[in-house]
Formats: sequence, C-alpha cells, structure tokens
Amino acid sequence: MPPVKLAAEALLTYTLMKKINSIFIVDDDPITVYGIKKILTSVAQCNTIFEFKNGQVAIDQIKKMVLENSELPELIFLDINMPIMDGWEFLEDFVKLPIKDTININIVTSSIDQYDKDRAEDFKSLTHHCIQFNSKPIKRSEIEEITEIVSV
Amino acid sequence: MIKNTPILSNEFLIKQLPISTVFINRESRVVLASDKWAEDFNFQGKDYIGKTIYELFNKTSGKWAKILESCFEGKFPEPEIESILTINSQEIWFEWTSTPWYDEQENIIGAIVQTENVTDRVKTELKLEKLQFLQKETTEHGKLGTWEYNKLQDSFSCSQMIRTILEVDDDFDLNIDNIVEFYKTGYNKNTISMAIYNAREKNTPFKEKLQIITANGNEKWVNVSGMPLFKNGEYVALLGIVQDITDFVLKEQKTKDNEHLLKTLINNLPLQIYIKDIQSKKLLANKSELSFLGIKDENDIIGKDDFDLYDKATAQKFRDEDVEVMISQIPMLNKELSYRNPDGSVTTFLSSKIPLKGDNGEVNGIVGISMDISEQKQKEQELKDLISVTSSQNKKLINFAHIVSHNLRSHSANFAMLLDFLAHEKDKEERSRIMEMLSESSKNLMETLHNLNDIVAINTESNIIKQKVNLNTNINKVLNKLKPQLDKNRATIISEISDDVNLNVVPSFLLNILENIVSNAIKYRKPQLDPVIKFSLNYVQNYTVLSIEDNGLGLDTKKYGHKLFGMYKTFHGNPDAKGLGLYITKNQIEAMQGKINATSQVGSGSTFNLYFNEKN
Repeated sequence: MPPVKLAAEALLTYTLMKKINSIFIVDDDPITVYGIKKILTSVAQCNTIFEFKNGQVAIDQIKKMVLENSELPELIFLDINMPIMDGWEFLEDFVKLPIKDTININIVTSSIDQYDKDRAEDFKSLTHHCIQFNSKPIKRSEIEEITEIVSV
Repeated sequence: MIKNTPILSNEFLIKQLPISTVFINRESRVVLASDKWAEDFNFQGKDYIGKTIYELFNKTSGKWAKILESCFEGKFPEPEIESILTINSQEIWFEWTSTPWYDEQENIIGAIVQTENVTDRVKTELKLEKLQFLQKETTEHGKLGTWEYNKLQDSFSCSQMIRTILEVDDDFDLNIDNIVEFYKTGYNKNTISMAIYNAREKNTPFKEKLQIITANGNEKWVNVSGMPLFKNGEYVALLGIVQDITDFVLKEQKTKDNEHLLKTLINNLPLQIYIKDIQSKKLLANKSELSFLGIKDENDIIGKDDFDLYDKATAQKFRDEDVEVMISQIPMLNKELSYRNPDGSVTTFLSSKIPLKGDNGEVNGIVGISMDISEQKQKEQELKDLISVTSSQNKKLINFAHIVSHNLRSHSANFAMLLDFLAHEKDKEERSRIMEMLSESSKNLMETLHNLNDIVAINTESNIIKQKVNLNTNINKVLNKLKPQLDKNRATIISEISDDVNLNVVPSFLLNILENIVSNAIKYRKPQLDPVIKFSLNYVQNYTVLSIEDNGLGLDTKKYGHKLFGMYKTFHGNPDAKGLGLYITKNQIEAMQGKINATSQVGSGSTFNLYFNEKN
C-alpha cells in the first residue's frame, strides 16, 4: 500500500474514531496494560490514559478527584488479582463514592470462574455504574464495543 | 321348805365327802352338798341350800332338767361333760354323774349329782386330737411317711404315706430288708444300707438325701432319717421318716439351672453389670465389672460404694446419678461418660442405670449396665480426624487448583494476546518489543511452574522426614546466609533462645521458613529505622512456639490477616514481592503438623509465631 493511501486511511479512521476523554487502567501486569492500551489507541481517540498498579492507588486517585470535583474517568479497566487492594475491594469502595455520573467499569481478569462472574453480577445490582465482566485475553472486538458504549 | 329329811343326821358325813356331791330334790332344789362341791363352784359361805340349781348356775332348765327327770324316773343317765366359766373367766370342764336318790322306802326323792373336775383330762384329749390332726396334715402335705421296726418282735409297720411314696399297694409286704431295695442302685442303696446297719449295730441316727425308684419305676428324691430307740440302754426299735422331696428338688434344680444360666450370661456378656442397693453399695458385679475395677474376687466388692472405688469427684457424680434414677424412677439410658484412668488414658462408657423395684413397688436399688466404648470412640475420633484432614486437604487442593488455573490462564492469555498482536503488527520496532514481552512472559511462566512444583513437593508425604535439629544452629545458618542484607541494613538480632533447644522438623523446611521470615523483616523494614529482629521461645500445649518479632512496617492484620499467608498475595507494592514466600512457609509448617500465625499493626512491626509440633 502506498504511504499516501495509508495516511489517508489513517486520517479517515481517526476522524471516525470515538473520542474518550479519560481512561483508567488498574492492573499490575504490564503486558495486559500494554495490550489494552494498544487496542484502545487503535479503536478510539483517548486523550488521557492513567495506569494504576493496584486498586488502592486507583481508588485514592478517584477519591481525590471526587473531592476536587474534577472530571472522573469515563472508562475503567479493572483487574481482579492485584496486591494491596484487589479488584473486588476496589469495587466495594468505589460503589460507595458519591458519583452521579455513570462510570463504565470493565473487569478484565484471567478468571473464568463462575463465582467471579456472579460476584460481578452482584455489584451490578448494587450500583448505577455500568459493570462488565471480560475474561482475558481481551479482544479487539470487545474493546470496540466498550468504546462504542462509552462514547455514545 | 324341806320335808322328809331323814338324812339330816348324816349331814356332817355328807359335807365331808371328798367328792363333789350335791343332793337335789324333785323340785331341783339343793338339799345337801359336800363342802368340796361348794368349793368347786364357789358357793362357800353362800346360802345355796334350797335354791334351784338353775338359779345357782344361771342356767335355763333344758338339758339338765331332762337328765334330772330321768333320774327321778329311776334311770341312770350317761355322765355329761360340760364346761363353765369361773368368776376369773377360767374355763373349767366337769363331768356330771347323776343317780336317783332313794329314801329308806326306796322312793325316789331326788337326784344325787356327783361332779368331777376333768379340765386336765379334757385338755389332754384336745391336745392329742390337735396333735393327731397336725400330724395327719403335716404328713399329707409334707409327704412325710413313717415306719417302725420292732426288734423284739421283728415286725415292721409303716404309715400309708410310705406306701404312697413307694407307689405300692396295701397288700405289698414291706419289711426292713426289702424297703432298702427301693433305693437307686449304687450310691443311694449303699448309703441307706450302711445307715440302717449303723443304726442297728452302733446306735447312730442318720439323715440322708437320696434317690429311690418306685414300684412303678418313677425316680424320686427323698429325705430319709432314722432313729434307733432304746429301752434300758438296749436297742429295741428303729424309727424311720421318709419325706418325698422330689418337687422341691426339681424346683431347686430348676432354680439352680436358671441361676447358673443367668450367672453365665451376666458374666460372659461384654458389658459391665452391677447391682447397687439404695445406698449405692454394690450387691453384685459381673466379671467385666470386676476386671475393669481390677478386683479379683466378687466378695471384695460387695458392700462397697463408688467412693471406695473411684476418686471423690467421679464417685459423687455417679452417686448423684444413682439418686436421680432412684427418686425419679426413670431409667438413665446410654449416657456417655468419660473416666480418666490413673495412667492418664481416658475410658469412655455408655452407661445405663435402671431402677430396681421390689415386690412392694418401691425402688430398692439400681441395675447398672456399662459398655466400654473407648475403642469405638477412638476409632470415631480417628475417623473425624481423617475426615478433617481430608477435607482440609481437599480444600487446599481446590484452592491450589484454582490459583494455579488462574495463574496459568493469565500467562496463556498474555501469550494469546501478544501472538495476536504479532500476527498483525507490521512495524519492526513494535514487533521486536512484542517479542521481548513474549520471552519475558515465557520466563515468568517457567518461574511460576517452578514455584508450583516446590509447593507440590512440600505436601508430598515422602519429603516429610522429621529429625531433631538444634534451633540455634539453624538460626545461625540462616543469619549467615543473609549476612550481606543484614549488615547492609544495620540489622540487630536479639535471641533469647538457649543453645540446648532442639526441634523435631524437616531441616530444609526449617531453614526455608526462617530465611523467609527474616528476609521479610528486612524487606519490609521502616525506612528511617534500623531493623531489630528478636527471637523468643514458648511452650504451648503440644507445641514449641518460636516467635520472630520485627520493628518493621507491619500491616493491618484486621484487613489483610486472612490473606497474609495466601498465594500470590502481596501487601506493600514491593516490585520483588511474588506473594509466594509466606504461602510456602505456611505450607511447610503445616506439612510438619505445625501452624503459623502473625500479629501486627501498621507502623509498629510484626510478630510471626511458628508452632512446631513436637509430638507428631
């Protein structure tokens, strides 16, 4: 493919791409973070992507943002197995925060355990936030779908 | 009033008659009486002359009148025996003989009545009659027969009962010789022959319990006794008494058989059986009960209570139960109770106590039945332990499988994702970055597999071979190994453990555990504080407890306590932390039948307590 056509294609894609202001990725595995970021940037226009090594640092940041009344992330990718504060503990704290907007939370885990799926369902019923459960490996189609929902 | 009294001149003679005599005229009035008569009937000093005898004896005419009347007609009536009650309410028997009273002209002018006190005679007669009756009844009911052999006349006589016992007819000629023939051949016949011989020759009485065969061939048991009689020191006769005791012997035999059966049963049942009276004193104890109490002879336990046999507390408990059962009259059934033996072992019983009621319906003791179920109890406990071990192992296994599958999946997911990227990536630089990540991932996977292998090895039975090792030697080994880190961080080690402490452990596990905890204490030290690690030792029940205390970061055990020893759990955001160290430590100590726990507070250090099981 000639470079010009490539650039044009890229431009076209870019203009068609959804825009998402702020995304949080909470995961201690750098490869997963790399993968999510790679797919995200290819399917959506993301202004800022924040990475957090565990639930604690992420929830601390969100609490700070709530206090400062600053703009919250529209989309959160959340791992379950993490040190210090795991995904479930993060969710427990998160759903208690006074956030009016609907935040999209995407659980990305290597677990395929029904127990974990049920737990995600439990959280869904507890909150107005949008919670989805995805098993690793995360697929491009899934991320496309997610960004679709968020940007609408 | 009295006419024609020709005898008046003889009055003093009559008065003195030694026989009680009264002269009665045809009007039944007393004309004359001997003093003896007045004395006999208590008329002394009283005015009885001229009174009718009916008045005097307070009788209506009737029979007396008839008798007197027949005398007046010249007849001689049969003597009559009659009893009267004296003033002292004594019964006196009299024989009355009435005869006509003639005057000189042979005219009957009345009756002469002579009375004789026959009280003694009557009484003797009654006594005899009674005795005869008693003898008859006794011989019949007691099946007692008697015989008598008269030596002088060489005659033999016997009562009817003898014939009944021997089942012979009245015309059967019994004698002193053939009576012996009815005894069963052998011991019985020999015994009676000897007894009779000895009685006749040596004048010795005898009493034997023997068996006879009747004329009809029936076998009977008899009590036979013999008594030689003497006159002037010379043997004249032999008296024999034979009692048929067949029914009694058979009943006795049956009772004995029953008793024997019961005794055999009680003694051979695998149960402890005893009977206690109302004071909880033992009346009976079977073999099992005796052997449990370590007593050989039943007589050594009869009359003893539990206070003689058990310690005071146990005895009081048993006594309280006994009283409860006796008062409530409700049996205590299958109550489980444990008794600590002097040697420390525990015996468990299934004990039942049943109120024992007498004929009057009142409780007069208890029957106790105890079954030693120690063995079953022990088996039950072993089974419970086994189930507990199995279920805990099962839980561990599920947990482990869960973690492993999760872990392996996260690696394979990364592989899948990276390979997918690689397939579509055209940029050379990006491709080489992905390749780098792939090789990093594969290295991680290898390491994970190694770790998992280590964990599996810990729980493999064949690797758990415990031996005695010196604790300080091993602590020093670990401290030497970690010397560079310890020195670098200016760590202080304080040990309160004396050099003679030994532990029964898997040596490699102990080293691993110590290294892990000590290196954790360095890893999670407080930034501005030089680490201090303190070793101390305690003994708790069956465990030797090694406590390792540090002054490091500590952690919120309320929040993280349950995860502290979990797999892949890290708490301080340390990039080197893999979340395996304490998991392996826990697995190793549990594989040695020990346990581990930790106390900690954020900012004020942690203490890890290692429980080494010294028994198993």
